[in-house]
Amino acid sequence: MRKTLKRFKLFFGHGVSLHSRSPRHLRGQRVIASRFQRFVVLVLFCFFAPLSVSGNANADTILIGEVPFIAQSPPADWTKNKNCGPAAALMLAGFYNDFEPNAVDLKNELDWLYANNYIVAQPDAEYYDGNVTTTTILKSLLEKYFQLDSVIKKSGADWQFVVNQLKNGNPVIVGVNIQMNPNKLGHFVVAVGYDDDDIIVNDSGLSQGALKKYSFEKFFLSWQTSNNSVVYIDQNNVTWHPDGTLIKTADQPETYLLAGQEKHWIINEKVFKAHNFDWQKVIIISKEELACYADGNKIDWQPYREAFKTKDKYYLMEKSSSASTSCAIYEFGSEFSYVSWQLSAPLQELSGLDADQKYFSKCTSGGLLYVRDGTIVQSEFFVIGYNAGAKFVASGNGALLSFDADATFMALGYDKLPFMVMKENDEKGSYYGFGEMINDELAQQCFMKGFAIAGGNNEAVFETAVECPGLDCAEPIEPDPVETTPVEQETEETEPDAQEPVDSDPIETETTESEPSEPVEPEATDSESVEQAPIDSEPVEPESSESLPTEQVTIETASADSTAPEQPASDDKVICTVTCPSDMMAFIWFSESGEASGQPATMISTVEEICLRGQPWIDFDCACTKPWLWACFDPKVAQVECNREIQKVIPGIIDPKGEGEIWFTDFSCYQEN
Amino acid sequence: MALATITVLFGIVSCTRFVSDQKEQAVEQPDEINWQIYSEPTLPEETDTELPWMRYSDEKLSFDYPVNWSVKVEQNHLEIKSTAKEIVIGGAAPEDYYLDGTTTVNTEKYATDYYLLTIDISDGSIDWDQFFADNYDGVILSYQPYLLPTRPDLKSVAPTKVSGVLYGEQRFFARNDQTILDVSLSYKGWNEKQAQKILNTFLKSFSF
Repeated sequence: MRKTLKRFKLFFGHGVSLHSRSPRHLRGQRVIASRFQRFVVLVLFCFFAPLSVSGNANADTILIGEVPFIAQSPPADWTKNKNCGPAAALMLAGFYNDFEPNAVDLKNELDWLYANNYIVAQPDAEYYDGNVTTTTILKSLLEKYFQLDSVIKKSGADWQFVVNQLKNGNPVIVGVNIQMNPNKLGHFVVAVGYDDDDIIVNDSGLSQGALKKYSFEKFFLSWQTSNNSVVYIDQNNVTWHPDGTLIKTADQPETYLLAGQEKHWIINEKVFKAHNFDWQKVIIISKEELACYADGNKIDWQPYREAFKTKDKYYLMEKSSSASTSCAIYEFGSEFSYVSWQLSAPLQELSGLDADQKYFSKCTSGGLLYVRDGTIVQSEFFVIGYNAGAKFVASGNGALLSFDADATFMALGYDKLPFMVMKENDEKGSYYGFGEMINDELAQQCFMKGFAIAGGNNEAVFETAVECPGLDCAEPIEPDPVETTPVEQETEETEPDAQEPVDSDPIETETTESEPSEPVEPEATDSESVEQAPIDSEPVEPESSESLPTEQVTIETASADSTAPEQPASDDKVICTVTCPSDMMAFIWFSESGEASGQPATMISTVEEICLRGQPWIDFDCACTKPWLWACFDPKVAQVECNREIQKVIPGIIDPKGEGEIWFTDFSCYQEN
Repeated sequence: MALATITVLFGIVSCTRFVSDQKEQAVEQPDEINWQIYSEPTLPEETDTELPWMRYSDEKLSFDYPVNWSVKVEQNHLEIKSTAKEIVIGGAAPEDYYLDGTTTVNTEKYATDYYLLTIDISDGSIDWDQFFADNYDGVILSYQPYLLPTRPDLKSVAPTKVSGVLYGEQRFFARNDQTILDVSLSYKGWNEKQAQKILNTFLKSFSF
């Protein structure tokens, strides 16, 4: 414990962090300040060490205070009462909607379930004994009856997943058994915290079920019987991310880059790839947060980039397009910072003379590049002022921003992103200093509150816009004066594009700018470089291997199979079947929270639904069924058939350590009219 | 004698109504279940002639069960059910329980008519108070002796006050010096008399 405390103090600077949160909710009638005071998450001795699934290795304690408790009886009595699901949903609703549930609320909830045919009354039981519910029913209940958004149901979750939600301040409904006994009957409880040895739940199956503790040993065995199912509200109060962050909302395909605290719409996938952005680094944010950013210039141009190394220094040559006659040379502060840019162009090793002839003599100097904005960096060594293992996000070309608490780091969604480990010999030149520590107050600010832009007065917004710094800027650094540059187009098209990005026509922009009629310039005649430059990649594919670490990705290309689909490929339908060996069960996950399982598992979805992830992909796996489900898993043994053209990628692109992924290649999630 | 048995069973099953009446007056009170107490052994009727029985036996347990019924014996846990389909009794159902996402139960996979007997077997060296504290903390608040008609040799109890979920059309606990049995009987679509016959026959043959 002493060691743990020491680590915590080193990292967070104090022994106990009070992490307050106020749930974000559609109705918006709550008083935020009162929520801060009421819902207190105690995060004790938190640190970033992974938690052991066996449970007793937890070195931290979390309790989400004041999640209201209600027993599932009354109404009706205990002997045939099946109200655990509605009671669990009611506790979540009470937490997010700020009320103390009572038996009348539970009756009303049951009335709604009956009225909407979600349940029928049990024979030989009292009406208000209710009936069995599923996680799907609970999701509908929370969304439709309690009007909560961001409701997620998931099966196959691991303990760390629950921990992350709890640390985000979100209580989690878990499917377990009565008395946490796997031999007994199915039951829902609400996880509200944990300590070293126990999970802490609100168990509606007991009159005195508030903050009931069950050992991790019991919990894990019991949770397994529901295939580790969970239902929760994925909410936080974050309304701000630092510059350099790639963002999108869950229900819209548009992806933005934050720069100058404005959101810059990246108009299509080609542009995204040309900038060497990484889909894994796109953070799903709330609609509320999106509204906090003014619309900045759209990013509609495709930079042409080459990378080279000479005298142990790394450089980037960038032009506004491959046809441009102007170029700029940027020097990376370190190899570490070079790697952080994830450039797809091959690295050329040049002598000083060759580099001078090819680049330095022809291009202007663009300055120094540090770790790329938006990159998560974890120090492996003792950084002055921080302990080893501290995590930062890069922003402002060279500033590392720290976090006041693990919970803040996760609330901003950075726990879901890949990160770079910075060793001691990586430090020099990788960053220039430390920026402001990110805490609740910073993460919950909203810049647009002070802007008078009602009615879509974008002109006013642009007047206040901060110049977009660095290479990720919304305009080319050295626009070719001969060309019609994206910036000039932007000036003419700003208002309609910024307001209605979906209606704009990326193809037109693409054609105008990315397919110049002029031949490639002399300095770009390096055929290898030109061929591999993203700008020349045709056609658009769902993340080609060139922008990925190829050693991690195996891609099998498959055509539409005539046996699997029953729908024509031209249909909006997307149908995939995953078949696993006989002793395994197949799983498919798609859209926001869709899941299909079985042997085989068949997913029937639509292009629109698939694209809710922003990219045309789904993931899949084969799980052993003995000695228990998910005792082992291997996506490589799966046979995949779809009514679409696909690429099967194992391990995945989005989650290279996780399931296999299916990328659809015959449609794009960007609108290309 | 048979009439007495049935009367007792109805007393147990009808506890729902009894408890409900109590709740109208004081809903915060724990349920009081009107478990009937036998004063003398009651022998069951003859084994149900409609069901052929067969014998299960392993190094720890042996018992009779109806032919074609499903038996699952795991360490310290025994399940006997009348169907090969899955049975959902608790408040949480798996995702494929419903067809079309509504109230139509997936009858291909889940049973709507069933009989389910479960027995959890645990260490008999502890007393009842300790057993309930360990396994039913906050659920079973009080209990009384309960005499099994076909097994008067076993010391048995049934809960009288509960304050938590305790499913099962019948629920009792039986013990000898070495072992405690946690017995639960659930059924749907069966008449109570038939269910009781099966339970009694089973218990009569049960050796542990």
